[in-house]
Amino acid sequence: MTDAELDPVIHAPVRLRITVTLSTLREGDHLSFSRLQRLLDLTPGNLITHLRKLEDAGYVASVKPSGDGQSHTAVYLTHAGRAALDRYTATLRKLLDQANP
Amino acid sequence: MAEDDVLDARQAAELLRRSADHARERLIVNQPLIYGAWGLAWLIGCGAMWLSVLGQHPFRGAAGWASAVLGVGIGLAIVVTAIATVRASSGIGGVSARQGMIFGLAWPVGFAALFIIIGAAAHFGASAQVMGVLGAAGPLLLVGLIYMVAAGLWLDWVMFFLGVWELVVAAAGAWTGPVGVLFMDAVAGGGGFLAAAALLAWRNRS
Repeated sequence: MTDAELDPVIHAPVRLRITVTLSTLREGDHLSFSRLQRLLDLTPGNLITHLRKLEDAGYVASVKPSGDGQSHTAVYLTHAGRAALDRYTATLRKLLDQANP
Repeated sequence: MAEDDVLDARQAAELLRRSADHARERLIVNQPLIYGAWGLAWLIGCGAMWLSVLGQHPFRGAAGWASAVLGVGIGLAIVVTAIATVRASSGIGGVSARQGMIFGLAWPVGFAALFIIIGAAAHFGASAQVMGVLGAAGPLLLVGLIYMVAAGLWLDWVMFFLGVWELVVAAAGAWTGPVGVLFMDAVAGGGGFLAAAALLAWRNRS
């Protein structure tokens, strides 16, 4: 097994942090864009770029709580996203076990 | 670490662990802190009430200074609870937010109803002794019930057993009379909260 088997959508520092942070939420919850930005200490542009990649993969989805504008967009990890993070974590564990038997 | 750096497996595992710790610390309500604040409020507040009625013959009720100590303790515990909850849950929407709002409303509505009922008991001639028992066991009954039911929202077994414990303390305390029930509230009631806080803090240790 090699690093190449790690899901490239998650296997990048910013996207890994986004995915792990959103996985802390309970199912059925979502986190506002601005709180996520503050938690991860990222610029809006940078966060948007990586969120778009996660959305394109179907791992993250967004909601606009009724009546609010663009600035109140909230995001959450989809079922596919949670499953992908679980697979990523399992692969990582196997890679590390191989490295230090 | 630059954002576009390629991670090796060990770095990725380390980043994953740190991100998860950071997210849990910021996004999950600090329940040990909240239980700790309420445990101290019950222990010190009801402890003061108990000291002020100790040796009263006949029983007249707690002194003003003791009620003030309890009032300040409860006020501080409410502030700690509000800050810890708002800080963790800001920006989180969805199911938890609605559950939290209903859970939050149960407290003021429940306590308003309880105090109106205790007021009615006084109005219809309940003695100082009966008022002492109702005033000390009633709030703990409400706390125990709300926790027992709320534990179902989050499938939180520590909260469930804390609720059961407070109900047992309220029921047993009532039979110890208007003086003993305050001691039970302070030591067993407050102690239950502090034990739950200690258990959760021990479980969350990294």
